[in-house]
Amino acid sequence: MAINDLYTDGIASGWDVRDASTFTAPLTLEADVVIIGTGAGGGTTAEILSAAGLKVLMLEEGPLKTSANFKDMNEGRAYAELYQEATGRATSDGAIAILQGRAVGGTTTVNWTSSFRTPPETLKHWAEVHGVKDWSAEASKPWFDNRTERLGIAPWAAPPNANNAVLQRACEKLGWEHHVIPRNVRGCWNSGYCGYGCPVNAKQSMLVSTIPEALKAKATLVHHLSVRQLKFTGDQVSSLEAVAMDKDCIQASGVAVTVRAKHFVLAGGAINNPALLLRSKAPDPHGRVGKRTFLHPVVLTYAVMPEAIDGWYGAPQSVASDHFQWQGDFSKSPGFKLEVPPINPVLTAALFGRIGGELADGLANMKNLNAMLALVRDGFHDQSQGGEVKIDQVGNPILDYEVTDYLFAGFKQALLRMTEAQFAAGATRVTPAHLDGVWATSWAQARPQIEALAYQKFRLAIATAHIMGGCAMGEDARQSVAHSDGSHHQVGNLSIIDGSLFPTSIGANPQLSIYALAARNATALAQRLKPAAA
Amino acid sequence: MNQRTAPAAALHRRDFLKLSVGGAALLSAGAFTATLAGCAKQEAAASGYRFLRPADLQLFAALAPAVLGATLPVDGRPAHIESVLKGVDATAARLLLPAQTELYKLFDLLNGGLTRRLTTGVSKPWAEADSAQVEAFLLRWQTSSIGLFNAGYRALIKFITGAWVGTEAGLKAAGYPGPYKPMFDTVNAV
Repeated sequence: MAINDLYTDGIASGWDVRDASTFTAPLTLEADVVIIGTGAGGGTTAEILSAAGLKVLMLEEGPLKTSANFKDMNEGRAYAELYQEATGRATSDGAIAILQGRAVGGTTTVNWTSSFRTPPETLKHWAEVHGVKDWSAEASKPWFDNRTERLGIAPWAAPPNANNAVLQRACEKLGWEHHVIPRNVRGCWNSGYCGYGCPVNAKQSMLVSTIPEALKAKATLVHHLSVRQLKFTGDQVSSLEAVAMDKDCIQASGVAVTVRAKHFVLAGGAINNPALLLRSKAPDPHGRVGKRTFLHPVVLTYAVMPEAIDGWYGAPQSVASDHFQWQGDFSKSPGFKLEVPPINPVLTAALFGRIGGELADGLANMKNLNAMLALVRDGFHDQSQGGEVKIDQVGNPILDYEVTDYLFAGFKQALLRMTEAQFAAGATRVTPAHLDGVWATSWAQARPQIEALAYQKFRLAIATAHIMGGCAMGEDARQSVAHSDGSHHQVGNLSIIDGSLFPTSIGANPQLSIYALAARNATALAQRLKPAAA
Repeated sequence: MNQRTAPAAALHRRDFLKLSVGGAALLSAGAFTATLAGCAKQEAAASGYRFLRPADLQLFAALAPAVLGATLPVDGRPAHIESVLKGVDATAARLLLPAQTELYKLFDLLNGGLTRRLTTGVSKPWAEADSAQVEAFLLRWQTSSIGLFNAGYRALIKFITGAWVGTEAGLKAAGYPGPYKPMFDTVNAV
């Protein structure tokens, strides 16, 4: 049974998909709505606006890579082709590694499928502290239901793989809250290759769901196209200037593309949206663009288990714990969600931080390795106001993110709890992902070590796969960039529809939070634009 | 600044810590660093590479055996090291300019004779470097209390370990049995 490639078939049937790297002369494109970025926000928006009869143009800086390209199931190929800066992206000081997608479908093409609704605590906080309107637990529920149905989201029905079972067993032993993770999959093979692009189109990423539907509804997709600047006339965007990328999607080819549209939607994510607004010198009277950028900074511990884990196979994430997420005193340290990452060999080795004999030992034991991670909930405290996206002299994004003592206190708590969990699940030895981490053979031995570690950038390994905020939503223009419906505070025909709207982090993997908010906002936008477009 | 001629291996740890402070100042002073390193930044990438320059290749070829230790097979080692260099280059070439600029600063610091001796204690150019000195340098940057050295250490070893494990031999060293067979066979069936 060969797997049909949606795009090969679709393009043959007349989908309008263009590769800008093949452009040889400048051109101008027109549409009712142009959407910049094809990830969770852009893909969702494209389907809804196209279905409403609007002429939609999707622009994507990354390449179009489809199931046919994913057949090698090769990690190195995936990182080079499908991730921002080939997974080498980091905060400006290099202290936090950033995993973010860059391809048609954005991060949804490469994420690990975890699909959580925005926690009610987060929604309440947004309404009370950040002036977010009409997005309470009650108001958002129909939209979460809608996306859950659309993308096949359901708690993972198969047993967890051995890597996730470690977390499940630990929570059972320690009496910690834990739950099965809902995943956006249909016909999933339980193979574990989500991070490299799904070779069987089971993951309901934007690549295989909303974007094909938009293309069927006569939308146009141009990939290998980097948007450089929005042009303004008065308080309206009049056009945008873009430049084609070369075939490998590394350098600009130099071919310029101009796009005119009635309405412009930013959906390039929490780093690229603010950078585009800053490059374009978009109105920003209160200096809010790029502020409050959140990461769910992640810290890790590694355990060697007595049993084979083979953490490279099986649904990557199927068990999570919120035991330390919402209950407790968060005045001194933030809450966090516990999960496991898949043991993707390249990623695991690259983050391991060990060399020589210690690296050899780590690689030799990778088959038995369990890694645990904590997503730290940033943005809910005075000492956690997030990072800031800036641009360099030529307009490249730079993300500054200060790690405060408050966050370090959370990292310490997380390392302690994860280590405790791994020993409770029967680990032979455990070490924190820290330059001074040594393998401990019992919880009693590990605890004082973790208490005494130097909590400093670079010594402690920190990573993120969830970049949020930077174009915060809210009804107070002094505190935010856009209204709660995504419409820009100062620019009439500009909307922001993706995770860059979040005024804090989520407290859970964010993709479904983006889908639901985007579906609500895109539906409202379609209603608003329809008469004008008719 | 005095040229140091004593072999770094003879330096005591306390001496190195003193030097480290000077080294950190160099790392943070970009222009100064570039000057000391002879403006290598202007140099083109090595033939067959997009980002790494000839001196950077020598640097990584010297670092790779120290970083990878016994996971790097002795048989066919030059070819394995070349695939690591290719992997490092492929990732570095895809970085945006701000990160590339920082990397070149780091490489320039390590490739300049004076700055190399001062910050790493490695007395000879990378192509002739003593492996014990290379290992001692990595350990010093790992354990240094100066964040910039820790940052440099993390960057260098992340590139090397990621590139290595991305190769077929590296995946084998990690015990990876290969792509999940039932799916691989199906999607690759003709």
